[in-house]
Amino acid sequence: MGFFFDYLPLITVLSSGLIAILIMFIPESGSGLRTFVNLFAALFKIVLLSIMSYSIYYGESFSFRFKLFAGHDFLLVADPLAILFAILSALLWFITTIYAIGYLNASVDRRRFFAFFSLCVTCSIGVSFSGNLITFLIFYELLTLSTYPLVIHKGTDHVIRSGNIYLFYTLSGGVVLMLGTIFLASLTGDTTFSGGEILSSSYSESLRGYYQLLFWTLIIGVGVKAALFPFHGWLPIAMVAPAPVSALLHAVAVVKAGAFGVIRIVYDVFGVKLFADVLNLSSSLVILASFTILYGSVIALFQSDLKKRLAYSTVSQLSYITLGVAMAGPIASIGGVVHLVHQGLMKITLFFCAGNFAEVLGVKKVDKLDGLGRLMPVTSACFTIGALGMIGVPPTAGFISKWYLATGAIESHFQWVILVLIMSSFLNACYFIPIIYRLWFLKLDSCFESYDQSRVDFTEKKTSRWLLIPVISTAMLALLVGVFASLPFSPLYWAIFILMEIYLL
Amino acid sequence: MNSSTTFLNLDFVLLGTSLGLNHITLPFFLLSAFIWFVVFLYGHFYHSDDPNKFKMLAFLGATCFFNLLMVLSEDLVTFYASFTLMNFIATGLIIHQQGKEALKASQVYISLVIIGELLVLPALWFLVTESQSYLISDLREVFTSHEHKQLIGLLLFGGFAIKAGVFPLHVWLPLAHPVAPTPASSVLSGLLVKAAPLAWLQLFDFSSISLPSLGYFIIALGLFTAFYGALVGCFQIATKAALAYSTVSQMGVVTALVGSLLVFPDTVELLVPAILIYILHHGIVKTLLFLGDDLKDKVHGYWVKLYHLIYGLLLLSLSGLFLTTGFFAKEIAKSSLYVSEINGVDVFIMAFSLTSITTSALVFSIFRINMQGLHISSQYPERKWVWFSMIIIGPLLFISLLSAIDSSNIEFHFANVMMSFVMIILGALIAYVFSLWRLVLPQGDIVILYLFIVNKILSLKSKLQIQIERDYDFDLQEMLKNMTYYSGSSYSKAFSLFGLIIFSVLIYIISS
Repeated sequence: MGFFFDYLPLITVLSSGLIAILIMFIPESGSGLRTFVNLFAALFKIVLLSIMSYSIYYGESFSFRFKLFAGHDFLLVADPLAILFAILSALLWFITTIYAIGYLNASVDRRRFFAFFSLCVTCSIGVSFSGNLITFLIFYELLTLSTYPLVIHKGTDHVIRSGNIYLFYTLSGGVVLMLGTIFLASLTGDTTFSGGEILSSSYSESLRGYYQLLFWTLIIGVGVKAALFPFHGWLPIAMVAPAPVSALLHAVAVVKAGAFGVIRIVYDVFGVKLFADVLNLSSSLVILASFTILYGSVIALFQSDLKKRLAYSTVSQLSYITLGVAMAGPIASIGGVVHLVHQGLMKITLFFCAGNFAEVLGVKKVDKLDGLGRLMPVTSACFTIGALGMIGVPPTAGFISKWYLATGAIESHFQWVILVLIMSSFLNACYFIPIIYRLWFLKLDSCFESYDQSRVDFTEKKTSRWLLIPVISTAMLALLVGVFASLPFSPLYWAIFILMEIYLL
Repeated sequence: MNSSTTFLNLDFVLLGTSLGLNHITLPFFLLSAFIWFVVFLYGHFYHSDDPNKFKMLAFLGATCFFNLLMVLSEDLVTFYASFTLMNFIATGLIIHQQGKEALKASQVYISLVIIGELLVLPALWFLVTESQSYLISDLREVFTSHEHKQLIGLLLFGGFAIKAGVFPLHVWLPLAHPVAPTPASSVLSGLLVKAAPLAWLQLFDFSSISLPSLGYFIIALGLFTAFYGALVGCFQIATKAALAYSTVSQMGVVTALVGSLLVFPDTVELLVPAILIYILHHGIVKTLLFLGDDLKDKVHGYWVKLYHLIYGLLLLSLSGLFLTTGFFAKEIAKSSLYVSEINGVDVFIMAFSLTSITTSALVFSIFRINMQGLHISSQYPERKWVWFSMIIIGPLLFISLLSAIDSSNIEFHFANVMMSFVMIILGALIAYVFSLWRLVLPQGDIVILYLFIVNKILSLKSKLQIQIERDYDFDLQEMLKNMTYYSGSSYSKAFSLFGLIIFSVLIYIISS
């Protein structure tokens, strides 16, 4: 393929990075221009990624490299897995930008916000295209640094304190990942993602302990962002961020970089064979993920703050990805990889909705949601779709992932995982069904008596269009990827395509 | 007999949707079509003054859509998806009138629905993993020879038993029916409970699967439900609650018949159509009974006598009065069972016949309550016309399906006819004795027990809530603060974490 095509990954990564710099130079008052630049860049990125995904499907490959330091390259590769995560990031970035424009309407420091917002997406695309662990590490660390200003955007004392906790967790995770990377480089001298070929070629029985140590070091490094127990503590605390940031943090940017890291480490650093058959790491990672799933759900049950409840739900849902990958069977892995997308779509919907409730009516507590289905029917309907998806009710996206995870668990002889999935669904139902029930079936709180209750306002005039359109589109996507799961180029289709390469089905 | 037609393949929907009909789903489809037609027609007039008419019709429409989709689906994923959505949406039917009782009923209902879904899911997962195909016809074969078929069978039975209202999971029926609007109750009782036998008949390949112990369990539970539901129903004061108990009891009979397919597999060829006939009979009669209950204060003049006559006949049809649908349904079931050569079939037939006594007791009790609350007015003539015309169409539908089955093995003994009269008279006597007791049992009987347990758990939860809400989570940072003397910048904490990791690494190396 031509010269231009090899530069495509770099262009895709850099496009939003350059936009970030451009936005820095747009004055605070130029919100119209900023909106245009932001949305244009997001669309441009989606177009680039679509071209790449189409070519990759027909067997093209893209890679870009330059020498970083002795023996180690800066390598960007676009493989199917990278494309999946990059498209998810780019798409949700586009939608979240629209939401953020509406959410931050007439607030201060928008220039800083949008610049770092773009930077954050640059890093997340960078994470997805990384072709070796060193490049991955660079973008992984940059991601931490670029999200920090977003988390502490409000700037109050409490927020700064929480932001520091966030930084403490994620930076420590980064340090451990760096340690792991150095460890890997000293073992093999090459950190390229090779489907495990490099590591398994230098494997010998005497190195078994080192390999296991290397694995756990790397997993802890990415596990902080993937919110694996006991490294999940930052996630609920980072809830102090503005709604669009928490939405992006929970759906793609930070947590997904962690989950994506787990996928990369298992498939591309170690390889399924080394991971499952030689080192027998499968069951211990499955146990860790299962525990996190149940732990997050149980704690979520006790949260009365809507955003906190969603945060603990994220802790639980993220481990589905780890679970699917850890079971090391083709079907279970499809479930894990596709959940990367499905969880993103559903969780971003839920956070947008929580943001809308807080922004329009000032409702943040679960027990204040009674009867809001009357006042904000569209937002409530979208919340319902997202929440049902989290429980795994058909035909939403969550149902498809859970179906693959469960059947995969049986296929990989992890029958007890079925019990975990069922208990997790039950707990999810325990903390989401009451919310749906409150929204639609309970009487409106007396503090909203000033609103006209006789008629249901389906147009939701009080909610700004900028806040409503993103919610509707993500909710629709979360529903449609479930209903039309078998269409070509659906997330499920693409996940099967990725796993076909890995397992050579 | 075992023919099926697929008429729509939608590969891109869900995991590949395929719609069609076979000899089992066809009667269900006809029953659904009839009941939805009646309910929409009646509901249109019933809700004519209701400000929330649109909402009600929307919920009814959505339930109807998923109900029909469930009947038509030939693949497991669509079947399960439409079953689940139908159940969830039906909550809106129960809660429509918004009172305290309606809220309680809907909460009990939705909790049981969720538990049912979660019981069914693992069974489906086990089947799908083995078969690599989503078609129900393929899954039946896999199920027959599956190594965990006991477990799968139990899960499938338990999960769908909630829908059928098998004891002790029947509590939602008597709670939901009195609070739901009448068209909704008639759908719940006439149609939605039938989803359970539909699922069982579709998923179990009764002729070759060998699960006798599960069969005995199902028969025992089904017969117990049949007697228990009828007896508790005799002590109700609301007609709709009593009718709900009648549904519990009748579905108990159907459940027992399904169980007998497992115990007496040599009857399958005849008994499956017999069960379908029974379901059809109950669906038609129960829908008309619920709607008729709404009509009781909306007739006047000589219509009152006609109304009483027909309502009484409909009720007696449940207990198998000669020449009613119930009589045919019961006799066909019995003569299909007589074919069996397996020990114990006589006992089962006897127990099955005896349910007619308690059923009769219940129908006389219902008739008594129905007579008590009679106000005579001539309002709402449209509902009257809908109901009386359906009284003619319903039995016609039944007869048309009756003619489709193989009747060579079916014999009607004069003794059976006499027996049915004797049982009805016995039932009437029991009902009379019960009416002297002046005992009233609460709607949903043992639900009190469940609510007690749930309230205990909730109070425990609220005690814990105060502690956990205060960010009482496994917080690494808090732990480190207590472990080390650093309490300054985040960097020092980062380093202390680093130390912790190095420490654990050392321990690991030493230990291995």
